[in-house]
Amino acid sequence: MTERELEQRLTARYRPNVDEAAPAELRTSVAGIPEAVGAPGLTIRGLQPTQRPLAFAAAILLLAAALAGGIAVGSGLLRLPWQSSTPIDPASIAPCELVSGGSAREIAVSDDGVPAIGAPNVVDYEEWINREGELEVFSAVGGRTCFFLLSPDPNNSRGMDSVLHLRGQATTGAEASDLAANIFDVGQAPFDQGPIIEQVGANRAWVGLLGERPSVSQPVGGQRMGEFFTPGMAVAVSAEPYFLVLTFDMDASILELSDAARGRWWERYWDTSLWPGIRTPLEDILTRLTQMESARGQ
Amino acid sequence: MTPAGLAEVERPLARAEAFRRLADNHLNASYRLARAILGDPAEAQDATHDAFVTAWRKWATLRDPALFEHWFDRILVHTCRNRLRRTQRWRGRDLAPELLLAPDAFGRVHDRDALDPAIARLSPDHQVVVVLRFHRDLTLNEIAARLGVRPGTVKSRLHYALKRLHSELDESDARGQLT
Repeated sequence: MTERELEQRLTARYRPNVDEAAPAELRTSVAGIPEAVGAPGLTIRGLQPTQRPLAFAAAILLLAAALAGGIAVGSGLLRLPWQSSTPIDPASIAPCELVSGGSAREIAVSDDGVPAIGAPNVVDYEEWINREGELEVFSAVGGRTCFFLLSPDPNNSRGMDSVLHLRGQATTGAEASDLAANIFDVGQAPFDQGPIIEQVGANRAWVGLLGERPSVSQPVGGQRMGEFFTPGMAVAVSAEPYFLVLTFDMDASILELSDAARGRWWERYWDTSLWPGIRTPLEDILTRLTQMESARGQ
Repeated sequence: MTPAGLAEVERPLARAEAFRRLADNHLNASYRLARAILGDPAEAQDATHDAFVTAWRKWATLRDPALFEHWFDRILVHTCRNRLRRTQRWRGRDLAPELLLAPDAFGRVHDRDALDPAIARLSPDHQVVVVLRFHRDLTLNEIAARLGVRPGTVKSRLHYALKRLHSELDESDARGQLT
């Protein structure tokens, strides 16, 4: 089959769909959304400049209230809130086995050549848009309430770039790993490769490569590209009392590399491209979190 | 009631009316896109509804109603992709009656039988790209704009998606010739 024939088959596949009308009940339910949902949320952009500080303060308070709710739900597992802004002593942070080490490691490969580490699966969650136009995601996983805040962008597309704030204590590698495992629901740190350990201000960051695989992962034509798609990079930052995980979509061209070569590639990519670009925004996020905690304490 | 007070009352009403008008105009196309991505009619219906709920909540971020289609497509595609990610598995789909009645029914049904599972085994990101390219007939740049990624990323995803489909369909065709 030629490429042209494949494209013709795909075009023909979707042709019966082009005249399909939406069901009448969908039309009715969509028309009723304004009444059912209520007034749409305000955004900072939609306010007068003089109103913005007030709205921002209100958003912070709402955020703090949501986080306090998280504490209440997971109180048995959470420690006291932020108490000190002094740098975390790296010696006191002992990464557990799953996230220890400072260089990329080879991933285990089973007999059929498929990496043995499970693909990360994000657990089910509830989501809604907050008054800043940001997407908030709450999830109760493994007895903990996790709070995710996906960073907004001006085009309303969240894409794969996201920031996840976890309200909980993660002052050691074991706790960080535990939380990360809860997020990805695989029972282990969500890294296929790595992590590299970085310092972000007073906080430590673990950087690893995520690999996503389809549910049916048969090698195609003996090439590994049939087993992986959409790899991502995760940066896990322990910033007491938060634990942040940032994920980035990666260029699929690295799928063509062997595991070892891909490990070398992403370490280089991290050092030369990604880290210089995200270091400042990451520090800004951590500053914001610190300010939020200060506001909460007042 | 003062004019200012009237305006306050009318603004929400005007917003709701504008939303209903734009939603009604774009509902068929939106449902078809969701149907093409998700396959299952009930899933597509739920996803379309959820996307419109999100659109209403984010209404204030739509700066120009003329850009509604583009703006809403992004919300819808994101909603569908999330659904795919949560429930990525192949589920049997009812064959459309018009396929069974078509003159070359056997060939087309066989084609769809092989093609649908192959598409369903692609990652959500790859499925979305394939649908936007072959259902919506969008260019790489247009797809990139709707996904919020670089055109190069779209090109790469499309390349790998087609390569995988090619391989799976070749295998399926070979099996069909043996039986």
